[in-house]
Parts: sequence; C-alpha cells; structure tokens
Amino acid sequence: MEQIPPELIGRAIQDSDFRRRLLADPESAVAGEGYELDEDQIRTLRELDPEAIDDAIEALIGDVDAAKWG
Amino acid sequence: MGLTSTRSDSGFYDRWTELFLRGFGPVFQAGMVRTGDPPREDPHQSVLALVESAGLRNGDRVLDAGCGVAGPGIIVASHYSDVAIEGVTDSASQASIARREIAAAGLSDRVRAHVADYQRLPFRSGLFDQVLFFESTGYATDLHATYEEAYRVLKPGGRLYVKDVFCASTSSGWEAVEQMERFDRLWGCVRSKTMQESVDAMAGAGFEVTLCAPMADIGTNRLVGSMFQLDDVTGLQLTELGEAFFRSGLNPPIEFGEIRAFRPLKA
Repeated sequence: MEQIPPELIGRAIQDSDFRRRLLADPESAVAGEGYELDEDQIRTLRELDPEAIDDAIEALIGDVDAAKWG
Repeated sequence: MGLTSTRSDSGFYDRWTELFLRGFGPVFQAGMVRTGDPPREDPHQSVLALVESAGLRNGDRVLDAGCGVAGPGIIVASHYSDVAIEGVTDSASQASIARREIAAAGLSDRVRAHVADYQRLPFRSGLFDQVLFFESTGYATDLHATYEEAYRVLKPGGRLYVKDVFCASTSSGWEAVEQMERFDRLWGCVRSKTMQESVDAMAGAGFEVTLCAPMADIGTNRLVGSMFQLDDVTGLQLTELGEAFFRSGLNPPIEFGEIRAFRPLKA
C-alpha cells in the first residue's frame, strides 16, 4: 500500500482544522486540494481514531509550532 | 557574532545523505515554494519557481553552490534545454550519488557534481552567468569568502541568488541563541546567517543587491510530514528520519528569505 503522502501528513499535523476534516471525511477534505489518494489510503485515513491521533501529536510533538523545524 | 566561524561538520552529509534521500527525496530543502491552484508543495515546481525568481535564463552557465545530490540541478536542466550546471558539495557521498542521479537522468553532458568548498571554488574567474545558493549558506565558515568567490566566478553582469533559512534578525536573548545553536547543531550547520549580514557581505564583495525579502509562500508540510507516518495499525509514528531529526520543543527564530544581487558590469 502507498504511504500517506508526507505533505498531507505534515498539513494534518500543523493544521488542526484540516486534520479534523481529513479524519472525519477524507474524500471531502482532499477534494479540490490537489492531493491524489487511492482507495487504500482513503480507507486508512477513515480507520484512524481522531482522538488517538490528537493524543499522539500531543505526546510526540507537544506544541505543534515546534514541529516546523525538526 | 562575526562573519567567520570556525566550527564545521563536513562529515554531516556523508553520514546522512542516504537517509535524507529516502526521507526527503532528491531536493534537500526545508521550505518549498507553494505553487499551483490549489497551492501545493511540489519540489519540482518549487525549484522552477526559485530559479525563475533568480532570473535564470536558457543558455546560462550556472553554479549550484551546495548542490546536494543534484536534485535541483536535474530539475532545472530538464526544464531548460540549454542550461549547463556545475554543482559543488563538500560531501564525497553527495557528489557520488549526484553523479549517479545525473547519469540516470541522461544529463551528464550538462550537469556535473564536484567535491569542492564554495569558499574556494575550482573554477576560473568570470565563468558563470548565475550562482545559486539553496539553503546552503548556513554551512559557510566565512561569509565574506563565500560571496567574494561567487563574485569572482560570475561574469560581469552575472546574477547571484540566495534562498535560505535565515536567523531572524530581530531575534535576541539567550533562549533564541540557544534555540538557534540547537537548530544549527541538529542540521550540521556552522551557523545560520541573518539576511542583513548576508546583504552586507555581498555588498562588501562588490555585488549590487536588488532584493532582500522574507518569503511568504513557503510551506513546511513536506518537511514535517517526512518525519512522521500514519497508518491504521500504529497511528502516528516517527519515521526513520523523524527518529534522527525531530526534536520536540525546538522552535528557533528562523525565517525563509531570498536575496538577489548582481555583479556590476564595471567594478
């Protein structure tokens, strides 16, 4: 299966509003945004638990602004 | 802080280039110019946007100062049919990979990679129409020598273009200094420069500076996203690149900027 594109992951990490929309309804969220995802990638995003992702971001990154520069 | 620094880490890219290639792809730049509608961070289009901003023209002989694995050089030479590019890197590992990638792209007649210090270039004076620095001046130990060499190898009227991650000139205080030192150490830099000291060094070398500005249309989603992976089994995890280079709490006072200058026709 193709990995979720890094640009999309980075945007989901840095833009919490986009992340919520992406995980709630991946197809609608990427429509018109120029990202091309296959069915497996859409299914992967759909099966992710938004709260668990928020928790992982908090645990791994903390202040998201600090993630910008490695 | 003076323009000359003594600390260097010439082995940084020998150690990390293979990982960067896997994680970032062949364009080793933290910030991508957002292009298109809707705007995206496409490395290919970003590089073309940068050289357009630089004023690069078909027929130019170009120096790519800090060429990485020649990702940008290959993109530029593929788009401009009559451009010749000499890239320099101080990493033998990068140069070796660059030559492999250049050959694979069928561009060995117009793109070359050399192991060299851009502060002491192995080229005759007045050879180039355009000198490019893409996120590479942070590795300069001597900013005066860097731009004096760029000036020397440019033809009169030749163009200099720098796009970089600069230390924000407004930053001050011990915390900002500590954050910048952590950032520079992490990425193997000697020291990230400010835009102002870069302009001053260019002017001191004889350049006329025509633009010095922060870049607004730069995105870092690719950079951040390359350090993490998402899957339905493990959720959000650090990638191999993230394990090596992501640092929680690192938030240095940096800004993307571009500087354009040219060597006057008469000194």
